[in-house]
Amino acid sequence: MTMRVAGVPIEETFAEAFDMKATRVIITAETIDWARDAAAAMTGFGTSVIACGIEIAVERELSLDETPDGRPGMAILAFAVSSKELEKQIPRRAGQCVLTCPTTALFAGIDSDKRIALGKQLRYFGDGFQISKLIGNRRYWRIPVMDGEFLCEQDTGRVDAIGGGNFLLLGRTLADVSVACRAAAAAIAPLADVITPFPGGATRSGSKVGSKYSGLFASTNEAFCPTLRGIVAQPFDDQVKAILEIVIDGMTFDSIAVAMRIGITAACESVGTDGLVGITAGNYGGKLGRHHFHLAEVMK
Amino acid sequence: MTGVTLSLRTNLMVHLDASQLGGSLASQPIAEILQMRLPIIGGNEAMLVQDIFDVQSRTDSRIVVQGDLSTLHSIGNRWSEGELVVEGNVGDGFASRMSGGEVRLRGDAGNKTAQQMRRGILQINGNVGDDLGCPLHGRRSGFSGGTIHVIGNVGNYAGYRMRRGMLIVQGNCGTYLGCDIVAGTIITTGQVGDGLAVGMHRGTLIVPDGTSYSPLRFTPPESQKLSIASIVANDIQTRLPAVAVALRSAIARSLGDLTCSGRGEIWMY
Repeated sequence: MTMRVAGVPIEETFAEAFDMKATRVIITAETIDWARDAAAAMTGFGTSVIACGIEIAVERELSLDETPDGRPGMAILAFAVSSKELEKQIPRRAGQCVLTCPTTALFAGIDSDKRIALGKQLRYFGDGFQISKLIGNRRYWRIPVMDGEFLCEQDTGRVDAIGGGNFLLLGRTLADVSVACRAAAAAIAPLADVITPFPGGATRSGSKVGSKYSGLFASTNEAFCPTLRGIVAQPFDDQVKAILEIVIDGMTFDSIAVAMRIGITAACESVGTDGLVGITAGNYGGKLGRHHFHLAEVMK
Repeated sequence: MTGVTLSLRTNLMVHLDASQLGGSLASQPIAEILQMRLPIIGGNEAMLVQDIFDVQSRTDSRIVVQGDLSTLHSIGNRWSEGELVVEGNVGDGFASRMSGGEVRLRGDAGNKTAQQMRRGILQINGNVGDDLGCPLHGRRSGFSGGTIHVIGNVGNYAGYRMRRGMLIVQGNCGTYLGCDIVAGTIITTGQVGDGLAVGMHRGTLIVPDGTSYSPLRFTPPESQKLSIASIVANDIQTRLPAVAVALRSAIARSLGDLTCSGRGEIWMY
């Protein structure tokens, strides 16, 4: 018997996700506005590893007692397919987006023996006037800048994580599926250990592996494009007029599963069967990613 | 490993090199501790631990040494693991070359305490003589890691050539505090003698507002609010809560020692 949430059928399929490397950094600033600005800059152009090299987004805002220096802050999660890519992207983004933003400081957000450089690389901007401070077992770099000092922790931890948890909302209209999508993303946003890296938490350009064009290793998934109905085989009926996908990266399998359940529930309850034809998930037949999120199990 | 309590039987009239009461003492069996020989300084004889101490095993893993130990020098030398508690005054060189674990002294310590200490936590509830955390004879760097917390006064040249770690003095300091400091953090809550941070290369001295230092050697104090001060405040929250509160607001900061192109800093809270 088909599982339903608010009457919306949940397809018996699974989302296929992949091993990734992840890190968390904490940005603080004199005001939450500056912290948000720095976070927005650092997480820009970080929707997909396909071309951005990294999937990065704000995890959540932090209260004053949650940050190392007692100022307003933002926690940012970043995911990449390799530690090398993460090691390349994080210092580069920290240098151009956080170091440059007034009043900010940058701290490690996760502990691990494996490390990603922060201040270890950025310190050279100090041109010899930088100051190292070892407090406990954490090293900080103080780089003189025009508004005072940019404080930056030496490095942050790197851990194994999972990217590519997903579900697709099959909508009766673009307006309906858009509302459902917003509801899902809003429900997932406060959760710890997960991010939805695409704009607004959703993507319309679900992809398949490969392309007819050599050199492209991902291209549009025509089977899920309603405008191609009648030209290509599609796994849904003609009630479906628009589809949006929520993609979730998480630190653990369980954190993604929880986010999927909460997101699917919020989406279904927001528009019900009037707006959604069903919920499904993206996979590649289980051949590419070793983490399978079966919707029936996730929704239990 | 069960701990042991060593209680000095009588006041000694001779000075002993007690550096054997250190190292990895916490992991050694009692029988071996009893047979340790403590050389008489300036003589060619030694005294056995079992001849001068009453020894009792403990239910916990601490090593406790009790009595007037002011003629025993270098207790806690090279202390590397476990907890050493000393109850009574000790001689010179206490906790020298300490490289880990925890050492607590309830009493006064002599000169050259914690010289060349590298790691661990040293807490002294009492006064300390000169040259706290100084380098070993002929070495370039002194205290280079860990935490030294003195609840009492310290003598001259505390933190001389210190390279890393945190030195906290909840009392008055003699002359030349932080002289030639290379790096690390020194915090005081009491009065400080002349020659503060002379020859300072890097590092941070955190002193009460009104502490005097040479205007020729340091830039004029400037009010600044620093994120790193909040991080230091977090670190000392339990030890010095009042100072921690002060560091979370603006501090007066001077840079120097200008006479040696130093990049150190003095914070006044």
